[in-house]
Amino acid sequence: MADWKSEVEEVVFPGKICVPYSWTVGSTLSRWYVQLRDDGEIWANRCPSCGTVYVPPKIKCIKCYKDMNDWVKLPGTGTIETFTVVNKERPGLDPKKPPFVYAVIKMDGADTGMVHLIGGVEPEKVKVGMRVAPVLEKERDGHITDIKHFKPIA
Amino acid sequence: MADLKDVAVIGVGATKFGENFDWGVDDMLTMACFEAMEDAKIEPEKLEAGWIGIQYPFTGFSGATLSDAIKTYDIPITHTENYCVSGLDAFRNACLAVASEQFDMVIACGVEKITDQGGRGLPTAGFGHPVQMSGLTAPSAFGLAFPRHALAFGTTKEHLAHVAVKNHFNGAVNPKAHFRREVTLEQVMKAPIISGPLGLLDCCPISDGSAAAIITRTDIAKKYRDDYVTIKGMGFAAYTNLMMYDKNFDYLAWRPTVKAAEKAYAMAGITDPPNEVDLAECHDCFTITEILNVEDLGFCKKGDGGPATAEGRFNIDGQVAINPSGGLKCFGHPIGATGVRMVYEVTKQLQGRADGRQREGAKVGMAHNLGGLGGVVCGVVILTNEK
Repeated sequence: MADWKSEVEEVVFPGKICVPYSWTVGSTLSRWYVQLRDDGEIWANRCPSCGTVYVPPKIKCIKCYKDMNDWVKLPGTGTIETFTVVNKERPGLDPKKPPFVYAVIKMDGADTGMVHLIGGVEPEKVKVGMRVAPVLEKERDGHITDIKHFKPIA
Repeated sequence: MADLKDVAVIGVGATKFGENFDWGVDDMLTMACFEAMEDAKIEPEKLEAGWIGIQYPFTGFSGATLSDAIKTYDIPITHTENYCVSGLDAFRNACLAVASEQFDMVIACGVEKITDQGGRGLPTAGFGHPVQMSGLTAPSAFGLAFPRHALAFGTTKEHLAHVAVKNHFNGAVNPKAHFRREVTLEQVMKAPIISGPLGLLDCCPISDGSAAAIITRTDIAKKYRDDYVTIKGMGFAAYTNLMMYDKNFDYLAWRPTVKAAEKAYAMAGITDPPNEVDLAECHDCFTITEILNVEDLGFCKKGDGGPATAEGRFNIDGQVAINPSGGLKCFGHPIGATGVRMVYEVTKQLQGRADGRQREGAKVGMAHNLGGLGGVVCGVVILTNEK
């Protein structure tokens, strides 16, 4: 099927798609983001039925399907459950320049894992079970990257 | 109503997988679907319904993507999307429709055109959930499984490398594979790291391609060929996009694989998978994915996936041949096409037509297709040539 190119010049159109979009995060996450932005605090919510504590919070418990209006302020510290070191750059998509570390963090006082970046440490020194604390941006705009990253603590 | 076990595959087709810059979606669908129809010895007029697996919108929308390619106007055609399981889900729905006796002869196919879409890698990152970090790509999401597996079971990067070496060994002789070359353990170990521990040769490629299967009931199949294959077991499961919210999630197993396999084995009456399944096309988007999958499918004990692969138990002449085609790793992974391509390979193997990569004496084969970042949805289809 490649033979036709010897008979006629191949014409190729460059395409470009720009897709701006907005996303309302809803009642529960709006409350969470405002706390993070204005007070620099990380909150979680708790299921009144099974007691599972969610961070980031969810509007309903994924098991009991109960509304979760019971808010808990977390100390912010946590433990690395697992991680991966990103080495290959994807311009425009990566939150920072590789190498950088994504980790799933089990926050103290919560039951669920949260995905975030690990900083302030050489990537090769990151380990499962490492204790971490959040480093917040000074200027915050209500986004998950208001937490700059989590850094190891003793 | 007929039974799912009365459903037969009588023809399969597939394009070469790879960077098919010269082919568009229509070209590839036409090649795969007509090859399947020629294999089944039927004309397009025979088809009463179709299912087409596509994941990405830039590949195509709706059933008309198929009818525009093969000109089967006016029959019902459904587009299935289920992440990387889009293709096998098209096959599943086609089988259910035949089992229901609504239709006698149908086509299931899949296609994806990923090159020329303007990006590098899979366009998964940068959108989605507002609190899960954007930019978490497929290699980084699957890479998360490694540190926990390593801690719990002692799995090493070298174990992962054995998966790539095995699958490239199989795929090197496959004329339709994306890559037709072997790789050495040293090459895999020294390849540039994409997202730790996964190096370039731990990752499947970005491929274009299409595959198709013609499906009917066994009583009709007999009129077309003697070596048709039938459904022995089938199970599908969807779990969650947000497994981090499951406080019991431990990164040591792909839960949808476990659940889909339970259902498929129950239907097939299989209780001892490594001794009752001859070969499996097993989802190996990344080497770590296959390690967890072979454990979750019961082909070895939980935690033994690495050593079992390194020992050769999953080689083409091992206890179970895992990915005799070369798998996603070497054959390629055009997302929507992959599940049907697995059915293509299993059918060829069960018909003794897998030239150069034949699993000797194969009677029972599996297509296992996992989708979503970190194992969100899964399909398992078990086929047999035993009548």
